[in-house]
Amino acid sequence: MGNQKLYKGSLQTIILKLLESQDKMYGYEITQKVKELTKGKLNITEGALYPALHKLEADGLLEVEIVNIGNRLRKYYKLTEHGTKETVNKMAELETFLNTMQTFINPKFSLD
Amino acid sequence: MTLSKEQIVFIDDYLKSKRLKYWDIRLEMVDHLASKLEQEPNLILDEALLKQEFGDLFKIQKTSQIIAGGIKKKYRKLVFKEVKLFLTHSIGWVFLSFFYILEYLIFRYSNNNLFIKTNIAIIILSLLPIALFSVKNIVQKNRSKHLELAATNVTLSFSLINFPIMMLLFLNPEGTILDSNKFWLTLFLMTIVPIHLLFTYCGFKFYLKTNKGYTQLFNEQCKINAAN
Repeated sequence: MGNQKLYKGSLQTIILKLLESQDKMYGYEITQKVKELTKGKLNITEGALYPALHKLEADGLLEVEIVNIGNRLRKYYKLTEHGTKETVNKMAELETFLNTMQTFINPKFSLD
Repeated sequence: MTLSKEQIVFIDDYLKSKRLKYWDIRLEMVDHLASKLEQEPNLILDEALLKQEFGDLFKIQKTSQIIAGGIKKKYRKLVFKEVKLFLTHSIGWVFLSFFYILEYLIFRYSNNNLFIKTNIAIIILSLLPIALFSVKNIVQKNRSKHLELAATNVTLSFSLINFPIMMLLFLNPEGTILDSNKFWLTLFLMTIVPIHLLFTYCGFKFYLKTNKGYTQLFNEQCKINAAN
């Protein structure tokens, strides 16, 4: 499972990246997709997910659509136009971070 | 398997029994759990399962506080955006200029005591609309965390004004607020009241938008619960 705290700073980027490839997703769907892609290594709790989604919404990167799915209401999240552009920036930042960390993990090996 | 409406209501009632009174917070938590349970075949939905999934009372309250914390930060940001947007238009500057001119005229043509009393009355009156809406929300059975947090942003500048006024009282404990350091109080009120009105106006505008959205949502939720 690894140390979940190490993923904390990347959660918003992960959410943006997932929503880039989907029209819209709801909270549970996001947690399941992350779990599937990471083969169970990363489990996002509601306590971590919903504040991250609210922050992205406050920053204008996500918008909410509430849909009646028959037996209840469901909140879907999707990228705004600004969010789509910002995802590219966030992914570039993440890549830079990973390259930097790689120098600590394997000092003799550099991706540059 | 899809959960029935009765099962959804069962989950919602369970959260209500754990003192989670805000329907909009429950909405997210119910959907999250219901989505999870719908993946499970041969599900037996009972209190024991809900206790296992949601955790104890402390954990439920903590989860709801974390979600509410996210909403609070979101709304604080959105209200400041509303103020910024208002000031990018000329109407925002007309608004501010009007109240600064009004402040000057009240100061110029009245005495110090009347000036201070008038400003305190303006501050209190500016909060009356949100006070009425807040009472309405508390009295009705559809308490919404989103609306409560939107309302706190309307009163934010009032809370900030309180501190210097309390400091002035603290520095002159034997006198009344009208006796204590009139010059500084006058200057403070003249400067800050128009800004307070700006933030209160933008906060209230944002609250009305949020109120409209969440009232529609609540009515939609009631229709689902009523339909069988």
